[in-house]
Amino acid sequence: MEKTPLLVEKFTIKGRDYEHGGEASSKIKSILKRLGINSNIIKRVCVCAYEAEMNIIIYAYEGVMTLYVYKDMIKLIAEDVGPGIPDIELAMKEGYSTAPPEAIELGFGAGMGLPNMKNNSDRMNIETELNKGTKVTLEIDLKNEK
Amino acid sequence: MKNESYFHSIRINYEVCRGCTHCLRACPTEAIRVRERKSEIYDLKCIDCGECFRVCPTESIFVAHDTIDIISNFKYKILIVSDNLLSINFGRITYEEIIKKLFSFGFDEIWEESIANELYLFATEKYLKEKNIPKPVISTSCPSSIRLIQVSYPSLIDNLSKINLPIDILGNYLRKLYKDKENLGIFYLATFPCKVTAIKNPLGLNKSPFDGVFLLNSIYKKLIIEKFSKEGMFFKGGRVGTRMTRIGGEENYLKDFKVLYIDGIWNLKKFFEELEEERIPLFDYIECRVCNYGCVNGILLSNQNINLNLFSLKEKEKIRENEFSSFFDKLNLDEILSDEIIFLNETINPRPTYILSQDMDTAAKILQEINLVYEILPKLDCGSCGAPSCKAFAEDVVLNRANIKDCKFI
Repeated sequence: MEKTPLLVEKFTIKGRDYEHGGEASSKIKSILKRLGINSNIIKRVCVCAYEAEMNIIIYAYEGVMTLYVYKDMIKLIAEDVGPGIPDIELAMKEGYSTAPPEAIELGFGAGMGLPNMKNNSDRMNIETELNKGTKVTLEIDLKNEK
Repeated sequence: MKNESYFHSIRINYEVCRGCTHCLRACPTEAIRVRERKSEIYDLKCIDCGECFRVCPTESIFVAHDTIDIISNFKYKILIVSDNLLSINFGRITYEEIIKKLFSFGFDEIWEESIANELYLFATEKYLKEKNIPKPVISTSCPSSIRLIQVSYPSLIDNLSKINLPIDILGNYLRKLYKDKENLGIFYLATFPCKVTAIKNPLGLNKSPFDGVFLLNSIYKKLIIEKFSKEGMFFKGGRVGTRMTRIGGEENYLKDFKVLYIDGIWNLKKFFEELEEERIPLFDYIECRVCNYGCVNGILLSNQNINLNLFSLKEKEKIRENEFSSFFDKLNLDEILSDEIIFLNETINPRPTYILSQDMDTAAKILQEINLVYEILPKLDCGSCGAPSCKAFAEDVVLNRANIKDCKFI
């Protein structure tokens, strides 16, 4: 199933770097625009990328988001070094959040991150290990909309 | 893809241009390149905002327009004057005297654009009450904002209001009102390049109601020096329409809706980026102006001080007798606001200049090549190569629009 991607781009993200939050997803957006991808797809990828990016900033020490563009799908892998998710099922619940107070102060941590990613992607997979880190893989198919 | 030709009012006088690169970096859509020491504008990317005009030190950027003699071809002549004429400093000559001087060119009627603004606001209020329109609705009263979306943020095209430009609503209405007048000519006195473009090459409208557009700077000297003066039928707007000259004027009227206003091209770009990424809370309506403070001043006269003019504009707003133009008093507004007058009648298409290739495979390859070229460039964005930034230059090289040797550091 694994084919060679047309394009791979890596973005490093630092934990607690709130003031640069959203930069990686902006860059991802501009790449996808240049490839001529349908704007509804771009919007969905953007939401996923932004939420994944903010999760790294809010919870992790550091992380890397990688964009893979295939002929028929976009894949995002957000991998971080951080505390890991103790209970994925709970984390997937809308409104559940363990964000630190400073993130809530800034308006983040509404407990919508993972649910938003799920709603905007076609496939989502979370691998996590406590006190080690989390790897979120998101796939968005290009065929659905034209 | 449909081949559209793009009329631009912004032009370059190659005799004077020395290729100094000021305009290069001022351009918000990276539409300018310097080739062989002359600036060139990419038609597809230019949005006629006039940022280049503002920074050009040699006055080699000019705005195309009609000459005022063309009105002699018409029998009944109507002039709509730009709303910001009220803000412009004519020394000791009052606004009323300027209007009388304009009549002496031979116009039968002069209408203030602020009346058009009021019609636009009534129409917009009506439109915002409609169900199932994509929110936020983006204002269509600033021609360059619409074109910015068309060029750089096409995913927002659906959010654009379906309402005509204010002057087009008034123009359409006057065409209908005076349909029995033989050889009617409707003209506009502009202070912005974007309005000239909007009239010469309307967007979303199959035919402009205007027969010509003049520029204030081309008659400014005449208005100051010559003593002529004539009375005529002058239609004035109210406080609400006049208020729309500066930013916040639409918000001021649309009180039942959650309105956000944004002025300044760079603010607007940042906002549209974030709106595209769905990171903006929900608003009903976005009032946008490419120029700082809205349409105060116009950009064509360099002797004007925007802050002083803003002050005098506010003073003049206060002393307007009515809230709305008294012209509406004896009229049925619903009749004026008919669909064919207020609505755009064509779809606005994107100008997809940013798509590298229709084939995704090829586009990805080009993008990777651009990144490779970019890596070896000095990343100083000095402009010496003729491109606004190293990124833009890398793209030009890959797309064979420039030679890598144009970079002074390679």
